[in-house]
Amino acid sequence: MATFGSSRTLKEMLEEYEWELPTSFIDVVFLLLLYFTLTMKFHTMEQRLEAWLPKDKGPNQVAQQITKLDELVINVTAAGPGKQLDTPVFSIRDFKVNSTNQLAQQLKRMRQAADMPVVINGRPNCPFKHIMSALDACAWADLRKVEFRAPPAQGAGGSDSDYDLL
Amino acid sequence: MRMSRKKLEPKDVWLQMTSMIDIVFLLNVFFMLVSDMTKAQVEALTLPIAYKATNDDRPPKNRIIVNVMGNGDIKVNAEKYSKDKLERLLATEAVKYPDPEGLSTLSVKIRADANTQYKYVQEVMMACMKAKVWRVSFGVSPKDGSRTEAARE
Repeated sequence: MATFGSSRTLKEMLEEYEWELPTSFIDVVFLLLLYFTLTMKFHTMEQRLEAWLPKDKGPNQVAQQITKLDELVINVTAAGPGKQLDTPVFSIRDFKVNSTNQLAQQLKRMRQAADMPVVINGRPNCPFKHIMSALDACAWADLRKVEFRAPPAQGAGGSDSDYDLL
Repeated sequence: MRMSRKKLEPKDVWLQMTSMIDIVFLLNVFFMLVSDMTKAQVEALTLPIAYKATNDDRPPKNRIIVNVMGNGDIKVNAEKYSKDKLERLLATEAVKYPDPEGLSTLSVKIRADANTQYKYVQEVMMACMKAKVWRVSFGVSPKDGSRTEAARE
């Protein structure tokens, strides 16, 4: 048995103390536990995709919009049995794909610069997740100037097919 | 058989104040801390999955979270909003944070259900535009992108 300076053994020293948990000590520990459990910041599993709405278009339009020739328009529709519409259909010019991976690869091929404007033109009845997939693909292709096409104005005489051709 | 009754003397009855104060204090702390959670801005939604999203650990202070439910209902701070009411709310909040260009630095996070129709999200985006709010982000669920990244490269 080890000794500490004096002739007393560790066992003898430990026996001198009574290991008793007082009630108030438990109370305080429990309070602290409760406090830290409730105030701790949970790790947020949720993330975000940044986007910026155009400052001078739509309701805030001040000048006639000039269409740029190198603008990439991603038309997003959906297909699937019944109302599920689980399969996305992305089309850029003549190119049509059904997966985010293929869209990202195609965007990388078409990308000329990081500020190349991209317009996501989603159909109104398209599930929102497909629009986010298109935005995600733009992020993959490092295309940062992404805009969203506004819905046709009500009463403007535009039909659904016109909207498709935008 | 008759039970013998023992008369309690007043000196046998007393109130344990210490433990009662402990319990009251515990309840007090618990309800004070939990009451904040009732103001939760986020609704239970199935968010769309994205691979290239940024963490939302440090959101801007001047941010409003707009929830778009699967059926198109719009909820802000657990309260249901119509399209017009949302436009009014955003317009009211936007003027509190002006920027030099005459627009607003207010940030809006749109949390929409993955399967909701895009037209409902478009309504929220149009409301943002009308309120001169241009800083918009979308709530998404993260996905382990390592495998997908390799597949895309």
